[in-house]
Amino acid sequence: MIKISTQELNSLFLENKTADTSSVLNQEEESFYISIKSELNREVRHPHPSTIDNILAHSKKLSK
Amino acid sequence: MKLQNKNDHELVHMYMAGEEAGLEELIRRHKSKIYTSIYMLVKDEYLAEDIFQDTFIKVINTLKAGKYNEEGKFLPWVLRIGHNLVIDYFRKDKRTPIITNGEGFDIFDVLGFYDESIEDKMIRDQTHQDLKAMIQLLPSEQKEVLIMRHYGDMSFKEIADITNVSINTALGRMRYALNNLRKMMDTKELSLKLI
Repeated sequence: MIKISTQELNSLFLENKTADTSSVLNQEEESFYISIKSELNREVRHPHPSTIDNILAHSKKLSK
Repeated sequence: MKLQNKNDHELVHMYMAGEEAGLEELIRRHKSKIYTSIYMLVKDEYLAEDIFQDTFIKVINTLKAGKYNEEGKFLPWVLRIGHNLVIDYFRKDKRTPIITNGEGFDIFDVLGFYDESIEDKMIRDQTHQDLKAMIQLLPSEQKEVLIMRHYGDMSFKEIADITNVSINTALGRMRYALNNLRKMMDTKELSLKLI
């Protein structure tokens, strides 16, 4: 389990105030993003089928 | 023409003309992106199901009433509705998103997709849990952009429109999110073991 103190978080995020935001993602940032994509994709989820059924039932009810 | 070959615009018009199959295909096509985007913000499966359903109820009511704005794309429009419903929920109940253990269904675990040792799997699972926790530690506006960009597959222009900020601000938030994740990983000497 990861633990990060409030002080560490403040230290991390305060540095952002001076960061440059004008340009697009640079190569290093893009590479990092690509490196975590597969991990992020493990979080992809799907709604329960009954939720879809409820939605379609609502639609059909309105169509009648 | 098969439904799968029709674009979103055509499917919307099919549905507005009374063909339910148009809506069914739109939901099939986009349900994971929309549901995951909502889930990542609320971190509660039951709440995500409710908001997902309410999102599509609004979509249906708007389309049936002929009030759909054809200038926008379908997916960003739906994600905007979902995003607004998430905000409404937290405003109404004055709650903040909580971090819960992910008990979600992971297809790769079920299929045994990776040929790896128990130790490798434990490291991979721990890395995944750590990354999930780090995302939740990001400031909300950074987390929001990361989720919309990655799970909603949205452009920075579309994110900017939804969150009412400039494109540069949306882009800046994504950069901050990535930089902060990397710093947190460096701080905790977490390296991603990507297989």
